[in-house]
Amino acid sequence: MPIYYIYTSMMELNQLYKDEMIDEDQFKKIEAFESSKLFSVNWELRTILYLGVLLLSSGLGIFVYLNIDTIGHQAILASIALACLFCFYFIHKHKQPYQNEMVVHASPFFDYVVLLGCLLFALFVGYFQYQYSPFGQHYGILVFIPTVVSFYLAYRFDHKGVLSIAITGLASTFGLSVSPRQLIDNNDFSDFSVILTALALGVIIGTWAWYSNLKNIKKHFSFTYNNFALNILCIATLASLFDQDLKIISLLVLAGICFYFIKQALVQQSYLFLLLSVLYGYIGLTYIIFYLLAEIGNMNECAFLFGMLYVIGSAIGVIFLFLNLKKIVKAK
Amino acid sequence: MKAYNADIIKNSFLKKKAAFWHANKLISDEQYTAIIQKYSASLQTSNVFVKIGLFIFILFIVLASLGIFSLFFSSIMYNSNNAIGFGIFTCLLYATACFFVLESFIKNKNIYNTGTDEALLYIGLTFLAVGIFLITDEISSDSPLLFLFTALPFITFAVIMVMKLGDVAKLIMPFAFMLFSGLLYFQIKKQKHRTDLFYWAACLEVTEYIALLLFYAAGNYYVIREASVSYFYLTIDEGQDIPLAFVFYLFTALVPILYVYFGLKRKNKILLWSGLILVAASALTFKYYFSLGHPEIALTGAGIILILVAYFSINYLKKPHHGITYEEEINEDSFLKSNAEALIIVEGMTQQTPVKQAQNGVNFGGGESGGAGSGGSY
Repeated sequence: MPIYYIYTSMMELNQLYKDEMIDEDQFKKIEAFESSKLFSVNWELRTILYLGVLLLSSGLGIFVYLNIDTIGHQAILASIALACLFCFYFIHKHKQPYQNEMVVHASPFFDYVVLLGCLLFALFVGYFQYQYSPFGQHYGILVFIPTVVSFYLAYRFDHKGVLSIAITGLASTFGLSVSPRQLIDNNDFSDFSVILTALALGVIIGTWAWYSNLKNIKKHFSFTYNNFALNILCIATLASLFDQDLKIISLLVLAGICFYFIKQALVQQSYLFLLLSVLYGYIGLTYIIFYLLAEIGNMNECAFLFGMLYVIGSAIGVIFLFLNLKKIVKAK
Repeated sequence: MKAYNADIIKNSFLKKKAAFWHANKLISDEQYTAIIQKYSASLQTSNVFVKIGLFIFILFIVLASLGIFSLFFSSIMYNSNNAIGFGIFTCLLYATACFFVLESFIKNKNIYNTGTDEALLYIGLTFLAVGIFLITDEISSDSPLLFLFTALPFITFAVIMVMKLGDVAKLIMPFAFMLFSGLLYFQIKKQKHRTDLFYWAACLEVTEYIALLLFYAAGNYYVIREASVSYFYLTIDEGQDIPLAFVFYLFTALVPILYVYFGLKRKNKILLWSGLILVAASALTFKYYFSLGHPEIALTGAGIILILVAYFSINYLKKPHHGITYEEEINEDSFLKSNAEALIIVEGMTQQTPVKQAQNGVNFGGGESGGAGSGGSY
């Protein structure tokens, strides 16, 4: 009998019994429950499966890319198409009817087959275009078709992961990289048109999230949408704040965005959005303050002192806000 | 001496368990409400994201105050001959200030793991460690006792002590560490039975992980080989291998599997998770020395193996076997997990697939095979 697995529960159980919160019958029942409790490896196995799908699809991606001019094209194309068809056949066989709420699938593998099918399809389209160029030089279509298919799969089979792929694809058709790590690295935000594109995309995604929340269409997708929208919008505005000569407008826009998302965060009780909005807003404000200090005081000691005092004061303010969050939320 | 109020921490343990039993219908609704009311006194804790925010902003405050401090006293620092002495003074002053504020926060604000207290504790400890390091550096004596202070982390201290043995160190280092971490692990397992130590439950758990990882690292082939080369000036010629290489290969391969096996057998998540992470570490170790030069095949193969392992395990565990099940356990933080997965997917896929490369326009197929315009006819 693994005693250490029970011990943590025994302390609580004994205390509850001692304080007469539960009777002896329950004490015995709970003790039996705790000692016979099954050991769930659900999350571990799901993670392994996820990693497997991701490794497989990226391995195949590199494989195709490296061997694109050397081995039998037809064979590769056919085998990817076959695997893809198998995935879609499996999905078709096990699918549940569409509904606006969350769908629970009977098969534990369903979600992963949808994901694999989506990734393989993108690979297939890319390879097909390279080999036979059915779309000529229109590389945009190459991203556009998998994006449309991903959106369809995400909504039809209720898959958040595929939805993120779809949103990333949508951004690519706009010419932006929006995956978390590439958002800053891969986009040239010194170009004002890129900033405008990013703003437009962010507004579209954010508005759709708001609208579908209102109309109750897949409400649980709103986290994914809002997460993309918040990051795209804030980074684009910060870029325009840093690089462009539109300091005041950028700051106002940033303030508006942060205000909207803080409000959303409080409504949805999402602390991630709260943290991100506050951080982005704080970066913008701090930048402006130091920018002004540098303009006025030319960064002499006095300006530096003011800067530091500002940091201390504002940080205390933010900490106060965070610590009294529950009261503020309740007051509303 | 405990900084936090232990009784109130116990309350949060009780409420958490009660909620779990309530969810499993072992406690009635009325009883649950009564329990919540009886143990209502609680410490202020915060959500993980709020925690991160609080940590960051506390750090800002400390850094800004350090900025002001150095603004006023920088002239002293530059003019005096004893700049290091002033550095030591500053570090100790800041450490004291951090701990002082921390104590008063805990007493007055009733905080517990809010991010504020953690930030103050870690920042204070960092200042203290830097201060002590500067002191030992200044005195620069060879006394082991002074090293003990520098090496507040016990493991560093152990490394230095074993190193001091000279030539023998090379041979016994791995085994000394296996012994040390083994003893540490079993001592913790013994202490974990004691319910009066609940106040340190999280610390014990972390130490348990450290002991397991240290035991593995002590015999991991990569660690042994690279450490021998860097610290013991071992030179390995072409075709040669480190002494006892076979033992360490075996150790690297077997330990993670044993961890997973015993984790499942004993129903111990700490063992299981350490094992799973270390399986990956071992795979990387072997790949590092025996790479086939084909990452795509390795990735594809690993992916297929993982999918097969998961597939057969899930099918096997749909009905519980040996007390292990695929059924989900009822708990509260599944939201974070499910949304985290969505983010990981995007991270993982965007780098590699050719579709992505296509959006850069001309790069597709052109980068590797030459001639962007060559298209299909090579």
